[in-house]
Amino acid sequence: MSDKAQNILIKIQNLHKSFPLSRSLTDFVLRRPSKAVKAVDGISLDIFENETLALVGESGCGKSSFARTIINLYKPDSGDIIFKGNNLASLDKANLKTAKRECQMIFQDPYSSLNPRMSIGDMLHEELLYHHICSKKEAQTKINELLDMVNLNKDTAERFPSEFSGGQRQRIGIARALAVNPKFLIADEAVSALDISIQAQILHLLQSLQRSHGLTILFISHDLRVVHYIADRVAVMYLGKIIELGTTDQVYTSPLHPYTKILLDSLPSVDPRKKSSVPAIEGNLPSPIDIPPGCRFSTRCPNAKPHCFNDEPGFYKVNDDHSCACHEYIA
Amino acid sequence: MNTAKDTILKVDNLKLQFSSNGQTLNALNGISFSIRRGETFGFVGESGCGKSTTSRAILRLLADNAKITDGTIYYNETDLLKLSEKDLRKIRGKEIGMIFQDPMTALNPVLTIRKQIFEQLRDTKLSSKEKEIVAIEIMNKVGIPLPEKRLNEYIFQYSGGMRQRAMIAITLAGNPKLLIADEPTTALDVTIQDQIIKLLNHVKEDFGVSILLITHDLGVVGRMCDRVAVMYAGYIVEMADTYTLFSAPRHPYTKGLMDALPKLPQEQTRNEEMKPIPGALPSLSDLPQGCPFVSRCQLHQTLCQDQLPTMQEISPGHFARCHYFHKLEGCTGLINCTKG
Repeated sequence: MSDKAQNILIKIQNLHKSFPLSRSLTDFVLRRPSKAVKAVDGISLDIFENETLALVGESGCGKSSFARTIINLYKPDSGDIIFKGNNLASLDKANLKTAKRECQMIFQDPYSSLNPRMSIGDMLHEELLYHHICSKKEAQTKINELLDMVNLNKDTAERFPSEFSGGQRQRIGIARALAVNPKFLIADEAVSALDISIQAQILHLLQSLQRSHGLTILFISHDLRVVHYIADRVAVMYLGKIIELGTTDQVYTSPLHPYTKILLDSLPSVDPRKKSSVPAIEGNLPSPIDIPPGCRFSTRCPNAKPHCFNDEPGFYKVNDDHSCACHEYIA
Repeated sequence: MNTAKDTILKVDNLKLQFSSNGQTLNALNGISFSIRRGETFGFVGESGCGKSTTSRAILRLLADNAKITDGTIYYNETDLLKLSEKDLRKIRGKEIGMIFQDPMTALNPVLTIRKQIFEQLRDTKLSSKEKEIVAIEIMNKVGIPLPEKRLNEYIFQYSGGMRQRAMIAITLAGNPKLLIADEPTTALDVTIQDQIIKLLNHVKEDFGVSILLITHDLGVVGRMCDRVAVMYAGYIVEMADTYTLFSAPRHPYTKGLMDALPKLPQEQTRNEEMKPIPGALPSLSDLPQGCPFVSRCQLHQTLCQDQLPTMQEISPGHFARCHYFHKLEGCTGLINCTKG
């Protein structure tokens, strides 16, 4: 899969997004500055056409915020998002609507992301007409095509979200996302809520649709098994920054960053003969409100040196396509 | 095979139904298993297969529309199903403790952790000074730093992993002999999950408890369990020690689960594609007459549609509920099968 033409679909440069916290009265009286959750803290990333790029990290590291900022569901504070020659960060409303149509999203919980009072057919119908994908006459044929594409029966169109199982709802979510012929699909924990046997069905479906529709997928997941299966490249996030980026093989077989190593080691192996091999990582993810100075992983890093607590590492290229934010890899 | 002495819990032919909207759901259809002293016994299966229902039935923590229609549950020599509510309360929390997936909903949000530990020590006749010492010791054992300070805090002041530790501490304060852990690590990140798995393995040795672990994660099973039962649609379809189950499953559903699990590079002993199990779970209100897995099974034949297979012992301690188990051979590719 790696020998695909490496055309850049989306170029993200130094993206920032923070969510200000409300200031309490005491903070106000004591003149403390207002604080903010730094969800995306300076990310630069190129996403190539037709690739599946996985974004992994612990909960609260900013994976979902980053994805939502890319497609302007959150307005970025600063930075550029170049998609097909346009900068999404500074596009006017009308053009943004067209651009957003090409970027679609599927969610973890397909039940809360589907309107419970709308039949599946009505929902798709509305979407097709709103985005002028086809005429009213053609809509029914198009809906049948879409449902067929995700392996659902035609009678699905008359039924409501509550009548479906989790796997079927996720198929509906995918049909809805693909109704507008997007180029870029964000799958935010799209298989995390599904059982193993159903999860594999949905992964297969996503793969075949990627091939048939020429999709680029940003696959957000905390499940390292699923990521290994589906991704071409993997970006590891920690507290609002990408700390390692490489092809799936590179990241899984020769991880560079100590955090990535720990993450992979803490994945329970099914082999009962392999009892715990590595010492557990100490402590929890620090708060994204007070990001530690220096390297943000220094508070939990087993090999932290004195300068790690003061100097923030850059993002060093270690070899082809494999980069890492750790002082150990300064060229 | 086991004498009653080394069996702590023995469940025999447990059947349970839920009634909902005039429908009868057959949630458990004759569950039999036993847990030995000092072992971790796992229940795996997908959502709706009855693993949580089984664990709740043991302590009769069931909704009003649930009815146990048959079977026995022996804890040591006591049949829990015959106990009065009053006598059962002496077992709950004291003999058999339970930890849940979400400490925020399982623990009391308006009581400090100290109060909740003290509540467990209510019947011990310890003075409050002694209770304080016991509480601090337990907090230390489960790895909560600064226990003197953190005892005064409420559950919302703890982080995710610490909440799970606090719940384990409160449960252990009741000094249970059997710990039922229902998806204890499912809501946690892998790094924190790793800490809790190690803690539970350690607690088992340290406090001499047996653990009934309920999980959908085959990796957690591998790290914690001595023996495992795989559930499907209210039946136990396969039961074996963990190594045997992972290296040579003899039920097509177990094999299917393992084939559907995306493999890590170090687990790919052979170059096998991930294969989904086609179809979906049968409805519990309308289970097939024969084998519950028949509609999704690759091996099925006419016999499977007509007749429910029985649990057969394939090798000592390895049971499977399949007419054609002998057709499943070879390893799963999940772990290297060469015995060693």
